[in-house]
Amino acid sequence: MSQKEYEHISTKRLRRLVKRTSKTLSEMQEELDRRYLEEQHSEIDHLEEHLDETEHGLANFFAFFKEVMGDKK
Amino acid sequence: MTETSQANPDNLLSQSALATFLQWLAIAILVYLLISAVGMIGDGFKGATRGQADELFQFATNPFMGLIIGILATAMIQSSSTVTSIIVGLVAGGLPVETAVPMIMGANIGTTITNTIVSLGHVRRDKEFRRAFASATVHDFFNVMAVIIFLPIEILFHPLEKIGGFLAGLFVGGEDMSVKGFNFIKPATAPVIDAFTNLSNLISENAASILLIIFGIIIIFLAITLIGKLLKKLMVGRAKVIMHRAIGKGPLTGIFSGAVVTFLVQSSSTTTSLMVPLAGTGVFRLKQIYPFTLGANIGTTITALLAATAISGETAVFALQIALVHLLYNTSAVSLIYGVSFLRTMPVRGALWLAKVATQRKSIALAYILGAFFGVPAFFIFITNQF
Repeated sequence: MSQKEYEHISTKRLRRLVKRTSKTLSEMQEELDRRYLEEQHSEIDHLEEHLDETEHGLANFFAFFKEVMGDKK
Repeated sequence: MTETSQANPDNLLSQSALATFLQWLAIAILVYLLISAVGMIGDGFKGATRGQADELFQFATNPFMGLIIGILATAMIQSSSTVTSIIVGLVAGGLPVETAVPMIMGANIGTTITNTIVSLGHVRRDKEFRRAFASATVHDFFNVMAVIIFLPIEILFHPLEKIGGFLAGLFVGGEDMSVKGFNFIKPATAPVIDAFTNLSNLISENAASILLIIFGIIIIFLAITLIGKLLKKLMVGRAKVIMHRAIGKGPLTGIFSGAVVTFLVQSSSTTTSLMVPLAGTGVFRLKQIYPFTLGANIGTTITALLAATAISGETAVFALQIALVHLLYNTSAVSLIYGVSFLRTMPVRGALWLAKVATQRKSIALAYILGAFFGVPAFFIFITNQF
């Protein structure tokens, strides 16, 4: 919406719209935060898999070394 | 399905309880071996140097050399707990505490190589790699910063050594100068130490003390590795609960939970490496990973304290002193660097910058790992030997 379009809206209605939009925005933010925390909890639930991943140090290093050498060629 | 092959829930439960019991029993035996091995290193070092330990370690009286020894040794065996336990044993054998302090600081830097290597596993996806690499190297930047701040102060005024000595004096004393409340340790560990002393004498009487040190180092390394593996299995559930509780809370909770999880799994490398895939997925931000990583620095100090309980006699106070220096150093570094806002952001900015350039050119990441953990320390050793 451009500024010109707002000129036709009464101040009272504009205030009401701002209030409603703010409320919607804060609700949406809360929902985003909730989903973000939920994702984090879900990742922690898979802690065993992440722990396994930490055991492949040397394999990671050599795979990385190969990748870097491949890039060079 | 036949009746015999059907699982009886009661049987399964008792089998699982038995397996858990056996795993805890194995941990108890391994801790006993670890403590005995620290005593072996102390005895072996005393025998090898015949009270002239400071002369043998003359080359390490240069604090930078001590620091480099700590970095290289830890980077090579990827376990700061092993290196700090060995240092405790060496101090018990006569290595001056002043010489050992920079080694402890170096061990802190050397241990960060493990999570950096883990982050390399994300190399195929650029965004993921950038996040993972930043979450790993924030620990590197923090530990290097801690050394830059604390090592010069320690060289000039020895505050960590003095406070550590004062606190150790409170805990160690009595007629036999052993750690109060742990006087039973020496007789308890004597059978293992005697057995390995006899074995070393059988192999070579001349090199018996050196062999005892080598046996001690091998046992410490194996015991800590196996304890770590067993605790990972046994404590993963408890770690999950702690981490679930820390989610959405402040940085202090992050530091605390990082310390507790590290204490539970007895490995800072495990805790910090665990953060790498969590950061890589993008679900956890660097801001959240950072305090948890710092907690790992504090939690890992418990191993050296445990190792210090192995020592009795006149050097017990020094063994406990160096273990307390480890604790004091890490808590002071976290309090100062994380407590002061402009210092707090420096490791994060450094890690984000390095991750950005390493993602653009992967060879920089490789050069960083080889250079920071091996090249630069080796270069300093070369320079020190030249002058």
